[in-house]
Amino acid sequence: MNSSEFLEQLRAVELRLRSTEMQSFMRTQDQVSKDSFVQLRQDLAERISELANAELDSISRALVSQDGDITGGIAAAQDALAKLGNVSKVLDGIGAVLKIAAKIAGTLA
Amino acid sequence: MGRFQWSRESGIERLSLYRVLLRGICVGSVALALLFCAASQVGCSAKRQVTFGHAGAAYAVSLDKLLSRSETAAVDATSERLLQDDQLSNQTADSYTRLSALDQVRLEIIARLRKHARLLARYFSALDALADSKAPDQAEQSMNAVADQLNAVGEQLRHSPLMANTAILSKTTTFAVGQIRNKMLREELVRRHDALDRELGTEETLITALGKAIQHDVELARQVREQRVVIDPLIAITPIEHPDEWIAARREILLSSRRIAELDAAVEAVHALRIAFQDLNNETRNHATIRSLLSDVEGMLSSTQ
Repeated sequence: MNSSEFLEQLRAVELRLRSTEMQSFMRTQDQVSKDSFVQLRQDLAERISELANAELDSISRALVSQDGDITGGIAAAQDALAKLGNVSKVLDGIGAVLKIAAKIAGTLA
Repeated sequence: MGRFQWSRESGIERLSLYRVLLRGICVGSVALALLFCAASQVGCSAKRQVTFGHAGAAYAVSLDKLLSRSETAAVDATSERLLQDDQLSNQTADSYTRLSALDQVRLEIIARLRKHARLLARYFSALDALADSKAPDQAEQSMNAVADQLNAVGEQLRHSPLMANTAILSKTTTFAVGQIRNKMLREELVRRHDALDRELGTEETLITALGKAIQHDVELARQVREQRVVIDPLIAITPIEHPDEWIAARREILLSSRRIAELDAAVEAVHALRIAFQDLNNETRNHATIRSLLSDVEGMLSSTQ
């Protein structure tokens, strides 16, 4: 059984310990039993939270370790987009120069 | 004799010319077919790159929603646990702090995950912007302007346009800039293939883990809340003070879906992203095959010369 399966089993146990039937039954018990039952139930809730947090923490670390690659990808895509935009800018520049050339040619003719 | 010699040599020459021509036609046809395939692949490539970018952006949005749901589900479940325990045994500041501290840890992890999800969203949005770039159309407009100005110069200098067919030039520019854009995108995706594959695998693991945690928290909170809001007031000795509110609360709890909409959306989004990624990978392999075929054709063409 791996840690994920163990966690699932603990969750199933917690749902049963917090069911209406269990709560109704424990209400009929003496205070000492109630106190120890609640302590047990909270210990279980803590273990479940710790295990779930550890699982999510490990995943988040694996994802964060990829941040450098993703940041590099963002820069590369933005750079490519800027280069594509430059094609139009260069053509616009040529167009502007030709416009002036046409005016000069008109004056000379 | 001389005439016969001439005819024979001429026949051999003609035969070898036909052979070369036939080979040229065959190789040319193959080259044309492959070029057609390559051109259609470019079209598909652009579409698939757009699909991948869109799928990634959609996934990042759905992941953010799932993370929000995960936060509220975890905090609400702890609140219900504390209230339920308090009914049996008076709660202390210590018991509250222990459970609440674990919620804080969860919230910090989720904040880290959300930060990463935002970075991922920026990456897919940058890819999307590149794939959806209007640069080819803008370049076509700019080229049209250049051609018009060239013709204006021609009209001034020699009373005739310098470029007779400007449409071909502008269409060629659109195609060329589109090709450059697709090549840039393809290069970026090839460069980051392994990182994206790892990212996707980890995201799938995250969705599974988050899904199980949320489902447990939501089910636990629903179960405990039903007892606290519906069952306990009903079985109490005193009659229910506000029956309509009780009915509404019971309806809300019982009719609330056990399916987590955010989870369903995230599962669907990560699946769509995986499919789009696989499609891109298959296409990259096809591109490599076509490139290798084209280089074979080039080899054949050069050997016939």
